[in-house]
Amino acid sequence: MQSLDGLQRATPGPFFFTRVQARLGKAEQSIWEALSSFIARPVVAISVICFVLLLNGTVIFKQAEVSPVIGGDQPDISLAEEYTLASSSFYDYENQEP
Amino acid sequence: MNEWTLIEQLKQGDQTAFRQIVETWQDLVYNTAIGIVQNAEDAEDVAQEVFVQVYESIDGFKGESKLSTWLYRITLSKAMDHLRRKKRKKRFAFVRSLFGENNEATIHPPDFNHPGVLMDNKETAATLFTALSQLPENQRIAFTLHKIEGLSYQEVSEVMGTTVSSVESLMHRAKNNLKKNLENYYRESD
Repeated sequence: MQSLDGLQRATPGPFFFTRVQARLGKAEQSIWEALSSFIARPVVAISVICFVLLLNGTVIFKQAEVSPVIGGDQPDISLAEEYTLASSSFYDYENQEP
Repeated sequence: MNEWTLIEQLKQGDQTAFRQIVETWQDLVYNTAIGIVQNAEDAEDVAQEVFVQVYESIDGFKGESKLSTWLYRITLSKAMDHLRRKKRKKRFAFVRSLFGENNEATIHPPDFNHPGVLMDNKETAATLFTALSQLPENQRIAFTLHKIEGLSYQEVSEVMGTTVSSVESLMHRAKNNLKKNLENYYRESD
């Protein structure tokens, strides 16, 4: 037990502060490294892609469901009007087929 | 410069204040760490981790205790974490060695020689450090702070957040356990 008598403090090697600073820089950098490596993980990347595809699918599906109600038979009418399919001329009225 | 001024300056991100804090307390941190982890490279690693933690969490330091007390607490917690990690790795290496993957677990580290021990006491101190590494956590911490860092029982109790009588009791048990460990060691080596 007395072998510890007269024990002197151990000291770190020279330029300790420089090494601490380097470590601090590494710690700050490693946050971004950790984030990028997390995103680059196949599981995460595939999950994100699936989520985006699912979101797109849902939006398209919902729009397809909604559009007939809003539009109704509007396109048919406008088409008929545009190509004058309706009998609107005087001649048509006069020459009705039996 | 006063330690409170340094702390306030560090809170404002002053690098010069941080440098001064590191240079003033690096020996305290390193000596405590080496007493616990008993390896120079590991102690350096722990000491660096301590100052990184100080830099990152200085805003949380309210000044309820002295800066040195706070530093001792961080050092002890980091050093004990380091030991636990090392023990886990060793256990894992042992399991792997059972499957014949490597032989790491069968390699024993050499005896630790504290750089501050007097030349005449090197051998006996190395034996004492081996015995010290077998003590329970609290006894080991109390012994390291009192015998290696030279803190009084009062200061040890402040660092450990306990009473002086608990520290006395821890030291008493630590000494008894060390005696037992050393007796076994010398009996086996005869």
